[in-house]
Order: sequence, then structure tokens, then C-alpha cells
Amino acid sequence: MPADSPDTPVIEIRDLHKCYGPLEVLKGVDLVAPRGHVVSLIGSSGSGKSTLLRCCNLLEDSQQGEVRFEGEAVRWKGEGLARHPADRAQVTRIRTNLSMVFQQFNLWAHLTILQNVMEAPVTVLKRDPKEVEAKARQYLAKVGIEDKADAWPAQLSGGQQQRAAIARALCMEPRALLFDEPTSALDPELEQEVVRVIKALADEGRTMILVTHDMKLAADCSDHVIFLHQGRIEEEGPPASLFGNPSSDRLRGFLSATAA
Amino acid sequence: MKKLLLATALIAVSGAALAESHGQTVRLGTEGAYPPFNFINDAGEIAGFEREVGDELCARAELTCEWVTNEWDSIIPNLQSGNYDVIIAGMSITKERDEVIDFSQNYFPPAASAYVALTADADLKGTVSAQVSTIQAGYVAESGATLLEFATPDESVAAVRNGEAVAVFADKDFLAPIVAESNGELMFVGEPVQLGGGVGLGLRESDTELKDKLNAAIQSMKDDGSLNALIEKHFGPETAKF
Amino acid sequence: MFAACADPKAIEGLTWAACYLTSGKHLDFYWSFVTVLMLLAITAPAALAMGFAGATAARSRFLPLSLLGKAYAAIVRGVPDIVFFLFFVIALDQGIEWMKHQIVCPDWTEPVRQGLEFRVCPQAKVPLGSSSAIWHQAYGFGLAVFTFAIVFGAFAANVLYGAMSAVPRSQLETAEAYGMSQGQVFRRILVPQMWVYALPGLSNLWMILIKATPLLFLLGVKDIVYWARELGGSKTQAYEYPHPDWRLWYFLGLLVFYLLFTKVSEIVLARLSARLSHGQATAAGEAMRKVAA
Repeated sequence: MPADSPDTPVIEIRDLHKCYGPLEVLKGVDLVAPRGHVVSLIGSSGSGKSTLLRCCNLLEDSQQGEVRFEGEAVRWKGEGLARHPADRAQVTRIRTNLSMVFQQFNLWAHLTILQNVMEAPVTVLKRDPKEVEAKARQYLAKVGIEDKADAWPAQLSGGQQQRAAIARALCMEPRALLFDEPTSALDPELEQEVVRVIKALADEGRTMILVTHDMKLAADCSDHVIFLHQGRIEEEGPPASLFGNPSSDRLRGFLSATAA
Repeated sequence: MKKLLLATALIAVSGAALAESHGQTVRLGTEGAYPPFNFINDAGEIAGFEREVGDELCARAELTCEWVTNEWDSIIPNLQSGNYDVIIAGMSITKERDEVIDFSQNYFPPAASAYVALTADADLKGTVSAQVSTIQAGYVAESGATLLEFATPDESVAAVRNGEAVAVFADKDFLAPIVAESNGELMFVGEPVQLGGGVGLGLRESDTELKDKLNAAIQSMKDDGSLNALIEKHFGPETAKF
Repeated sequence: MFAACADPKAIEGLTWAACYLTSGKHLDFYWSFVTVLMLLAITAPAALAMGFAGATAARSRFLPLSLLGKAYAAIVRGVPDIVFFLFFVIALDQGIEWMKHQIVCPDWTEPVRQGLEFRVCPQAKVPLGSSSAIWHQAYGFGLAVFTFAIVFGAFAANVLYGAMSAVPRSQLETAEAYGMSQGQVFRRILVPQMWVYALPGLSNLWMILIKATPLLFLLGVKDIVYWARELGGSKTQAYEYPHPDWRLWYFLGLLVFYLLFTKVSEIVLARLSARLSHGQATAAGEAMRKVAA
């Protein structure tokens, strides 16, 4: 498949293995995120869902298997635990096109909200600061916190910080957004303001990979849901069948536990 | 007679030319805290007996001289590492020092050291203060008294005033004006003690040429009485002279 | 200084005091305050630069560089200051002269070390024996700045190394996730964020540096404590202005000077700390968030 074909998945992972020392956390996992699709990763903690997400933008090394970004395979050097990406430029290209939103927001504490949103486009992509500022304000307005542009991260509530972090991700104008438990650190009443933003982004047809424990969010906005258990894909499919008619005992057990 | 004049003139000229061609400045190191030998006067310049002797010696030896001050404690190491060329700091000629540096002949006769205390019945075997690394400090240590050392001579006297020490042991010539101006607070106690071989210039052992020049200059000052005149000017008429 | 001061022993009272306080020696004393302030103004940034270099080297992934950085901090911090100021300076001075000696006097045959003596050719003395006193003073001051920078740089390196490690890993990881190179992460995120963690340690160092300036005298630079001791000591009639032991008053003056100076430093450092901690996830940042909320 040629790289510019609309059918090329943004991210494609084949048979990925990942160890932390003797502990194997991913035991041969496949993941395909086609353009315009939302893929959710669910599973109990320790199932490897966050690790899988972090392997997408190469924040984590993996020992075996293939990672493709828009059809382009990541080049590796070394073997096993010594396997690392071989090409720094390729890593940078992938990371700047896959913007990540973290559980703990991770806004840079020494920068104002506006500076946080502008930092990577200006520093890494070398875009014109004036244009970036206009875009940044636009994205801040989109997530509803344009009035906080000059505030410091520590002055905002958790929900506001996470929305700022989403604006920061959007300002990179990436090919896909990676969400790592974006609502887990938030109080229930703040959770909804972030959920609304994520749903709106899904409705726009953005490519997203969403690691979440919020089954309702996964059900509402996903095209495809993957249930991971102990480093393996236990079950996957469209949300309707996965949540409506789970076939494995483990998924049934997991769903009833999270529903309770 | 004419010939002799000519010869001396020639020697003087060639000597000047020699000094010129060498262009060497001799740096004189002193402490600047030991009146009347050497001290910093109120204009901030080095003054005292040794200032006048040093300037005269340099003139006689046809040397360009420059004065530097250095802490007493490190005055010998800094001579050895070449930070100055001559120590002129009231330094008594002793065997111990002669092992590490060289001395010129003395320009101040072997002088008495004395005890000064607040009372006449002061216990000289008690706590006695002296300046660190001096001939007097060595003497006190051997006398069986408890030695209390200070970095500067002035502090060793102050220690007696404030009761830290029973007595101070130092050059009699340094103590004399202090006792005289203390309005009876301080007094000499016990008998003066003769220590050392007088005060000489300290030089690096390898600097024999400079040593010879300065020795000749000291000798000429002794011979024409100018050294005695300076001693009398700074230390009074009763001080021992050459 | 004034015409009235021509014969100090004939004047009394206020005139005497005015003449006394404006004597050449006192002017040297006042000038030494400038020397000390200048030393601080030059040494503090120099030490910070040394510390930054040391901390950066210690963090390096290149092992020899990392060892060099760590050894610098460990060794210099372990050696007592006074030993450092006595021996390092002599060694440095001799080292400079030895190197110059190799260049300017290649034909010199006598050994440089003769027992305890150190003899280079006259042309290799730094500064030259014939140069004026001001150059000797400037050289001494330069050695002092360099030595202070090395000693305090080692402490600063340790403080900065700790501060760099205190920046939360997640802040750096986020920058990596957005495509920043190691250099960009260091410059854009790590360095700006470490200051707030470094500031308490650095302000301690600054206070210690202020108090360490009397060590200058060990390096042959006459500082305020030297002059206070020299001026305050009792003066016989050999001096123009004889007086009893006034050291107490001079040292009281110094006490006031040092207290004022440290007080001003504290105020400035507190403001700096407030500025630096605006958004950061430290206790100060948290307090700010609570006020805003």
C-alpha cells in the first residue's frame, strides 16, 4: 500500500513484544488505527494498554515486532533488550505527528498556558511564532479556555489543565492523537468537561487512540475497541458487539467489575 | 687622582649600564605590622626602620626596589616560590631558618627579647603569648610555659590586656614604646633574654649574587655610621648599636 | 587629605576624627569594600558557570565526562577551603609560571625546582618582576577570583546536579513525546525548571561566599577584615594617629556591613524565588494555586 493512500493506517503495529527486564508486558500485540478512526484500548491496570500506546510514539522501546507510521516501518538497530530506533529524524517525524495527552496533563510548569501550546510547534517544527500564536489561541478557544492563555498551569483546575494539554496536542496539527487515561486523574465533576472535548474531536473525524478506563467514553466514541489482558489481546471488535455481546469470560468479568 | 676619579666614574657608569641591561626589579617582602621595624603608616605606605634601611640598601647596591607586604605566616614559602626576592621583616637569624633560606649579615644587632605583663608578679611559666613562628614563640615553648600564638604581634599584646595570657614575650624594641605609652598598665617583667643572631635579610639560597650585593651595602652602612643613626632614630638612644 | 591634617598630633576632636578617617590607610580600607563587592560580582557568575559545567558534565552519558564532573565536585568539596586557598593558589601560580618558562626560556639550563625553591627565568615571572604594583595586585585578584570560582563552582555543581535530578521525569518525557531532541529538552525544559529547585542551595552558597571573602587575605589581596584588624590595632607614637586598641569598633562596623549585605541578599533572593516558582509543582507553586482558587 503506498504511503499516501487514504487506506494506509496512520499506525500499524504487528506482533509487538515488550519486556521490562524479565517481565514481559506485551506478548505479541497487533494494533491498526486507520485514518479517521478512534481505537480504544481497555483492560485492567497492568494489562499493558498504556505501554502499547507509548510504543506507538516510541516513548518505549520494544524487543520484537513492527511499528509502522503511515506505512513507513520504524528502523531499528540492535537486538532484544538492546533494540532501539536507528533513525533520530524518523523518531522526531513520528512523534511530531502523534501528539500525546497524558493522565497527569504534564503541562510544562515554567510556561504559561499559551506558551505551553506554542512551545513544540515553534521549537520543534520551527513554525513562525506569530502564526502559531494565532493558532494556539484558536485551539484554546476550541477547548473553552481562551481566557486562561496567560495563566500558569498551577493556577488551573485539573479539567482546565487537561483541556490545555489537548489544545497543546492539537496545535501540533498531528496525524493522530494519543490519549493516555485522559480523565483518570480528574474529579467526576471535572471529568465531563474533558469527555465533551474528546467526543467533539472524535466527531470531527480525527484519528485517535484512546487508553481509558471510562467504558462509556469508549463505547460512545470508538470505532474499534481492543480489550487487553496480561499483555495479550483477549478480544476486539466494534464497541456495539464488544460491550453488547462480549464473548470471553475475562471481558465479561472486567465489564461487570467496571460497571459496579 | 684624576685617573682614580675616571675609574670610579667608569665603574659607576658600567654599573648603571649593567643594572639597566638587567632591568631587574628586586621585590622586598615585609609584614607591615611590626612597628617600629615595619608598619603601614596612616598614608597606607610601608614605613619604619626597615623601610628606610631597605631603601638605602637598594640605593647603595644600585637596585630598583619595590615593596610588598605578606602575612608573617607564609613569608618564607612565598620567598621560595619567588613572589618577592628579599624578606626584610624584623626576622631574627636562627639556625632553623638558615636551613631553608639564606641570611645576609645582620642589620640590627642581636637584641633582647622581654616579657611584658599587667603585674610585676606575673607567672612567666603560666600562659604566655607570642607571635606565631617567631624566635620568641620557640623560646616560650621550651621555657615550660603554655604558649598562646597569634598571627600578628599586635594581637599577642592585646591578649595580655584582655587577660587571655599572663604575659607576652616579644622583641624588647617592639614592646618598649607600647609599655611607655600604656600609662603604667603594662610593665616589663623578668630579665631580658638574648635570642638569635640579630636581624638579617632573608634570601633564597640560590640568590648568592644578590646576597653579596646586599651584604656589601649593609657593610658600607655599618662603616659610615648611617645604620646606627637609623637605629637611634627609630629605637631611641638606649638601644644596642653596632 | 585636608590642609588642616598636615600635623595630626597638633589637632584634636572632630578635626582629628575627620583627618583620621580620611587618612590614606582609611581610603585603602574603604576601597577594600569595593574590592570585596567586585570579587563577589565576578566570582558569583563565574562559580555558577563552573557549577553548571560540572553538573552538565556529571549528567553526561559519556562516562569519562560524567566521571570528570563528579570527581570535580567530590574532590574540591572534600578538601578544606583553607588548604585549597593556601596550596592550590601556590600550585596554580607556579604552574602558570612553569608553562610560561617552557615557552619564553627554552635555553634555561638550571633546574626550576631547587630544593624548596621555585626558580623560573626572570622573563617567565607572572607578572614580570619589573611590572608595576597594580599588575601584581590585579594578578593576585585574578588568582583569587579563579580559586573562589573553582571552590564555589564545585558546591554549585552539586546543587545544580541535584536540582536537575529534581525536575520531574514526566516534564522531560512530555517534551520528548512532542519531538524535542535531548538538547532541546535540556535547554527548553530542564534548565528553566531546575532553578526553582536550585535556588535554596544557591542562596546558601551565596551567603557562604559573602562570609568567605576574608579568605582573600590568604591570597595576598587585602580585604576589609585585614584592614579592620590593621586599623583597629593599638597604635604607638610611631604612627601619625596613635590610639589604643579600637578593633572592637572596626569589627562592629564590619558586622553591620555584613548583616546589611546578607539582609539585602535575602530580600533579593526571596523575590527571585517567588518569581521562579510561579507555575511550578513545588510547595510555593501549590500555595499560589490555592490563593488563586
